[in-house]
Amino acid sequence: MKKNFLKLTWLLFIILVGLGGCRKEDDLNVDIPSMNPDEPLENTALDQWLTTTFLDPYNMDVVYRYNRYYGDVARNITPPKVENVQPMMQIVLDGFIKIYEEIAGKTFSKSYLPKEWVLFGSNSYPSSGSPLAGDAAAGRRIRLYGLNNGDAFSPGSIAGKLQVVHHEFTHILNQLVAMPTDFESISKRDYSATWSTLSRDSTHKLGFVTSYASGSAGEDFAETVSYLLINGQPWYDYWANTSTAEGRANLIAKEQSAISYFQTGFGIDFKVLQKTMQTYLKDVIKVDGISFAYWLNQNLYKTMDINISDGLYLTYGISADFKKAYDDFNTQMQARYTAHYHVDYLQFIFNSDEDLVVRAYFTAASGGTQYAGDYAFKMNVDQQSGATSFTKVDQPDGTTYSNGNLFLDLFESTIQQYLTSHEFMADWIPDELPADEFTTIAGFYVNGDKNDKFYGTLGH
Amino acid sequence: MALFSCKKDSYIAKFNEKPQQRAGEQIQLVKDILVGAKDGWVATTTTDLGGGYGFYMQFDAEENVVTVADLTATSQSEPLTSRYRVKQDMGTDLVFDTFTYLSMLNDPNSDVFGGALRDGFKSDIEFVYDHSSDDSIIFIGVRYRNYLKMVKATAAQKAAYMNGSFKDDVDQFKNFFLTNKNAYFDLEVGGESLKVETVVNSANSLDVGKQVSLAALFPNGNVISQSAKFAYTLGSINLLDSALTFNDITFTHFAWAGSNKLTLYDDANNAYAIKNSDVPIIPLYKLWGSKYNEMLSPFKQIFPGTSESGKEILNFFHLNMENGYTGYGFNSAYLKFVWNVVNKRLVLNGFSSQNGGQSGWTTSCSYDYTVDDQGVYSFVQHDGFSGGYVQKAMTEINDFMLNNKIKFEYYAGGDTIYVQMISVDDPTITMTFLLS
Repeated sequence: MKKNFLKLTWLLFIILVGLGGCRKEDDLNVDIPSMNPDEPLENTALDQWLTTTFLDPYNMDVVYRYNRYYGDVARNITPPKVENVQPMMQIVLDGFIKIYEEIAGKTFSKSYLPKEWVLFGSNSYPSSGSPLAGDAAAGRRIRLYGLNNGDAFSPGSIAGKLQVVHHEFTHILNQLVAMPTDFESISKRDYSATWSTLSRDSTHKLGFVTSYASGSAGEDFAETVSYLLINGQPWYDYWANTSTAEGRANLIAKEQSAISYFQTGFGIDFKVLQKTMQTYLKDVIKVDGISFAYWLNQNLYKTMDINISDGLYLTYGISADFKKAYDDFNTQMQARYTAHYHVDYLQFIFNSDEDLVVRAYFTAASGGTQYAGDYAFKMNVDQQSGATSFTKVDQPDGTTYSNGNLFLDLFESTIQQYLTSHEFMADWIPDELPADEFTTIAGFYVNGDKNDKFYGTLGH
Repeated sequence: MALFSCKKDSYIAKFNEKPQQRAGEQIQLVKDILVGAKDGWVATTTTDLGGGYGFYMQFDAEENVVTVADLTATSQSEPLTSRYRVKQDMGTDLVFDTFTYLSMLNDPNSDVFGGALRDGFKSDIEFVYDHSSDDSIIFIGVRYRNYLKMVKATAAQKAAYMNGSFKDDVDQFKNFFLTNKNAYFDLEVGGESLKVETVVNSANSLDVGKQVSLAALFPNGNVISQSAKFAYTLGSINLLDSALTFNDITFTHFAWAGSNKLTLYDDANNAYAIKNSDVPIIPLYKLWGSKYNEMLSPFKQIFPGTSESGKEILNFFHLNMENGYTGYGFNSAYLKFVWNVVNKRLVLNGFSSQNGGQSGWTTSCSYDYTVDDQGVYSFVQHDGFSGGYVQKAMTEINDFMLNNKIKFEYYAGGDTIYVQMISVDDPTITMTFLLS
């Protein structure tokens, strides 16, 4: 026993000496890259552009030359066409990096934005399910796939890529500032590990933007944020309005939670971020589906209210011709009857994507009942360009039309004259609106003259 | 104690340099060889799922590679510059690291070049250096282990590849086989002269594309058929890997032996002139079970050689997939006949899928057949329909099989050789299928 004890002591001694006895300095001197040499030359104009645009200012590495270990080793993923690298990274720069830099500041963007961008030519095909357009790894690497696809630079495809980027970046933000607990509780009972078997329609009814969002609170948060930024507020409102009452309440609660998360966690005004993102997508990428014209065609908005004495028009101006037509109509209306009716405000009622009623709410000088007088129009809005024309049609029967007929001749020579004698462009105007009013106010300007505009507050 | 108290710098290399130094030298060696060929390289490779492919490549020290390839009319005539690099991996790797013609064989998107979904043609874009000689360098694909063999090009070859005349060269070969539909050569076997059917399939399809096949009907009644993958290189059709061994002769390549005189050569440089016969050397029906095993009608594809009444029969299947006629909706499907010559049986499979063909269900039935010496088949039902969900849409093709005497003939359409199924009772009913 004692012998064994001695043996054990010796053994322990040897192990301890052995552990402590090595000189570690040599290990520290190993030059790791030289052990596994893989150093692509950076010798082209593209490499230079990537260095000065991403590496120098943001310490971001853009890997476009194929490296199996940056993809998924078990999948065939082809390298990108060289000529597609700069256009894609320009979109990442303008549609993501610059936007965060502008709104959250240089320190934020240099500290937190992903440090490694890996580009591939084909999509990444999992063993089952849909091919991937992008994904993220380790909180610092974002992989964008499918740069060689024929439609890689179509507006829809670009929006899809940016959606992935914003989605993944939301996860990174969640690692810095934990997701709000109130968000987690909103749909807590509806999260399901088998989300992939659920249709988008069924998860829509529960108040998720996608089926994927119903997988977990973390994915839900990232999907909600990225859809608010990329698809935009009108889409989100439309999605909420076409859900169930419960789903709608959930979607609205999630939106509010996300907005306050960005404010309290990072001091970022989410509505400003959203407006900047939407303006970029609308004006630069020309994404269909986020324009006012698109949503008029979807009949998302039911009304647009114009009260010319509202402070809104003092701040942002309104077409002189429209104002004159409105004022003339109002003045002549007051002169017609002894009750001296006057116009309270105009309401454009969008009954469908082509049936428009212009309604004048009017009241007697002495006050009392407010009446509605209607004028029927056809409206044609081109979804792509936004070009819009109004055509007067016969007045149908009914009380509000009878009310309108009392002043029909006055309306014809003033407001109708203005609406039918121009070609307009439907748009989110005025441009200068603060972010929290963006897409809550919109209107039309005369094609070719953005100052000759009229607009109003939208109602669902 | 001594064992454990090692000093790390006392490491003694098995070789006289550290691993990283040797790796660095190997990288430089491979790069020097590649760049050192002043007129570039003529390269060939094979793919796991398809045939072989031929390339011209010129590497520069700035990690650019200019490529011409026999894949498409564009790749044959328009040199494409892309990037490459040599790096250390499981060996010394040559990586074609931006898009080039070679990547098309690797692409997981079947729309790019017709490869299989996810796998492409099972061909690599990374290759491990294997060995080199004075005029060649050999690599092996990292994932699929196919050889990429390069031989130094001459100045004349470089000029032809770079000025687009490689396409004319490929077209000349293709035209020869379009004109000479029943190509063959004579082979002396046991004192008798055999006609060996020679088929060069230039289609970029999976399975049988880019392959040369030789077949002959031996005096004892046996049909022997052998095939090999090939690549076009300037002036030659190269039989790849271990070439094509037929009746113990190893054939290596086709080349021109004078204007429009195509010749097949063996490894002893014996020449075999390619001739043309007015009738097929071996009737197609003799090749069921040896050379060809299946006839395929892919989803909603009607091939040339299909008559109006034949189209109706095929479309009764294809056009009743999406509309709910079967009781279900499918977005991908195909009809496939499979020969079982041993049991004198033909199986008909109707596959249908709801996810674009990634997975699905198969409805099958089978026929017993008899065939006369004119190659006319009569079919009777062996097993009725079972499995799957598309029996209803297969009734017309099933009725056709049972109610007609049928013969099978070759049908050439462009680069592809199809099989045409013809009703002997009513020759206006013809249907064309892919052969495999």
